[in-house]
Amino acid sequence: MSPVIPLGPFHPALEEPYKVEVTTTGETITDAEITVGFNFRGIEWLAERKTYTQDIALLERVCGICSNVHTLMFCRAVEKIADLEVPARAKFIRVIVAEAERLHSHLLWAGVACNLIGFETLFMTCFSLREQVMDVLEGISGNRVNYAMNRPGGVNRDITDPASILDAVRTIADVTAKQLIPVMTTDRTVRARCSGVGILTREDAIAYGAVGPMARASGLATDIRKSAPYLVYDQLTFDVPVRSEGDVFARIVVRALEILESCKIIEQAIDMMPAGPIAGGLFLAVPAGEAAIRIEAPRGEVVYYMESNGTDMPARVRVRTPTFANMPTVRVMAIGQGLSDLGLIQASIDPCYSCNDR
Amino acid sequence: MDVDVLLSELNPGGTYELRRDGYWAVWPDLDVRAMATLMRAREVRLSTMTGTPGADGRLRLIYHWDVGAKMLNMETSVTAGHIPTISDVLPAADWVEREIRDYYGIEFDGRAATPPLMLREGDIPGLFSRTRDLGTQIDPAETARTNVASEGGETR
Amino acid sequence: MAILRAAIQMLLFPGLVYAVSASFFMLWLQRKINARLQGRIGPPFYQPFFDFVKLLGKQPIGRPMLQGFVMTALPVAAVAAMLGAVALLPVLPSGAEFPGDLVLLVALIEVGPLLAVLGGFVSRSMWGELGAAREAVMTAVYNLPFLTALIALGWTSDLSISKLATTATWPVRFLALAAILLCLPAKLHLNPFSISSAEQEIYAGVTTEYDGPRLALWELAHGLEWVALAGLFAVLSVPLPGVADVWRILVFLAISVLVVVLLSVAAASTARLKLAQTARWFWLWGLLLAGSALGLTLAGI
Repeated sequence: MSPVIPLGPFHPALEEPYKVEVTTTGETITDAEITVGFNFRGIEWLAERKTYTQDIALLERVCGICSNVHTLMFCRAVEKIADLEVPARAKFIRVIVAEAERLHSHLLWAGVACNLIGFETLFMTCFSLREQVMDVLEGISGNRVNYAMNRPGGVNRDITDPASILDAVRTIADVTAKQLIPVMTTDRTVRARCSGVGILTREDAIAYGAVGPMARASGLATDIRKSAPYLVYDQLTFDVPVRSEGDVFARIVVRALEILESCKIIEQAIDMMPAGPIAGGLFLAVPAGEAAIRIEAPRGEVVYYMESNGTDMPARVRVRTPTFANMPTVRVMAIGQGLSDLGLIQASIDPCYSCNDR
Repeated sequence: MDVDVLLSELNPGGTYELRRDGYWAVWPDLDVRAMATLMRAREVRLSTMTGTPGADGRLRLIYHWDVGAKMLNMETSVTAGHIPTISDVLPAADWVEREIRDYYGIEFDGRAATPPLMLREGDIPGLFSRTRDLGTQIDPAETARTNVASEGGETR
Repeated sequence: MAILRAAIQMLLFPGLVYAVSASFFMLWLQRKINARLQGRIGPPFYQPFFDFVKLLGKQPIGRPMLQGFVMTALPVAAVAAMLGAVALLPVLPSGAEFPGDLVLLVALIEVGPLLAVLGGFVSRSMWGELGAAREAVMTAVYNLPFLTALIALGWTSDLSISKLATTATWPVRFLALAAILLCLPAKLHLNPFSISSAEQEIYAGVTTEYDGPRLALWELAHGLEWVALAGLFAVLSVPLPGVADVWRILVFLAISVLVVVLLSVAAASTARLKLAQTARWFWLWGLLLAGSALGLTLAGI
């Protein structure tokens, strides 16, 4: 009989709680069952019991890394239902903050991946870059984690010092292109650990509904910013990196290239940002209605469904985070792999259990 | 992806509308398994499913499909707390079905097992529907194991 | 005179005083180089010593008597073995050499990992046991080329470490030392062979359950291992017959520090390999180098 090894809910390398029960033959994984829900906070439940204004602060706390995405989604859902117009400058500011957040998320993930394969020096490089992104975000919003930037109909703060953002973004693009990507893609120890590990085929990626960099590393050219442009993404030029290998290495490459694309987007957005108001007036009430919307968060597509009944509280807020879509793929990726690769395979989806459990 | 072709293949007489947030097809008698099989064959990705209480006390179930520039939302309603599963056709639905059972206590027929996803083993499914009218005073953690049924909410 | 010399060698140089101070220095140097390469400032030079003193001052967790005794005895023995190994390094001619002293020296160096494996298992922690198992496999992996290289070096001198310095030929020496240098990161748990101390996978490995003075002793033993291995490499690398003692010491220190720098830089610029990859690597490249060294010796080149 093959032994079932319970891993978690607490892990040496990843901070968040989740459990994997692995069935193995020798060192090879034959099955893996994932248990989540350790971080369940009932945010969807709470959102039905708070006013729209309170919900913004609540939903910001779905995730510690892509917090901005959730307020953006919530405000966009309100705007869709109430048919609110967002000023052009606010749209650009939203794009800049969203892309800075993508930089933050990808750099953090790259650091964690380096840490997992024991590459401490590269981990430090990633985290020092991430520190600069956080400084940029702090410069814009005054906060390092929960930025409180969005409100229905616009943003809360203007970008007053675009030059410093450009400086930081250029440094990040430079270091990423000249140090991070060459080291990550050519270092033999990195390749030895990541190439051919945790393969997710294109068919599985569709069947399991993989999103974001996961899907793009498995040969699916899916990016909501391109396929269904929102805000001002249709005015900006950028590429969507796609790899067909579907292994951990492909995911590293996709995310690394996306760092460069995000830098490009921020530079363009700052150039093109028009003058003008950053928010409409106060909105009085949200009419009854419903809206299902989605955007491309750092980790992939986020789906929100909001239903309002004309009161000051939403009737239903449904949050589908990218980790929720990507997490089940770990099972198919882990089967047939070695036990020592499991941590890396899990990390390669850029999991956020806090998002996943909400 | 041509939504018109896709939907007529599923139900030639079915109507749908294009709203601000995408295509909506509200079909109370939607054959979810036929839909899942068709979407799988057409390589359409299931974004997610949403359960939300409908006006008549029945649960509205919305399947969100990624068909390109717009999202396709296929809405149906759950009769007597039961609906066929699509997780054997599309594994993407597996976790979502488990989560919807956790929140609204409906059963997805045809699954080998529906263990809780967000709740713990032994918790009573239907957390949201049971506590729907109880406001913020109630602690969901406490109601997870005790059956506090609320009036008007969908109970299993 | 011989006794005085022996006493100096045991207690002063390269024995106790040098060994302990150098072990703290080398631990610091490794951390400092690592930090500088990672764009950090790094610790001040007294940091490893302060860490050691602080750990010594902590009250250890209460354990069953026998387990507590074994968990103290093992690191103490490791420190003693490593001190002995450093003291045996023939930096200066002592007149007390005997055929086969290389075997004694290597045996003392090898006692360290062996005790660590035992220490991991007696700590009764899952992570300690995993670390111990990894350490045990690693010992089998790196010792094959390591010992082969040493045998190749000592073949012509009856395994006498002080005579070996003059008898081994340069081609043999070059190949054997290269093989030994390859093994050092694995012996010191450094990247890319830091498998038995992979904190992201098994926390601290064998020392997971050790705390306070017990952990301090393991840290000291680790530092002494650095001194012993860097020192071993130094005495094996340059033959200095008839050179003044001062120069011998200086060359010895210089090469020791150079080894630390080399290993630290290599560790900072690599990721961690997996056990199977490491084994393949050592048994291919390590054995190739060490085996050809042995072949050359046997052929009399």
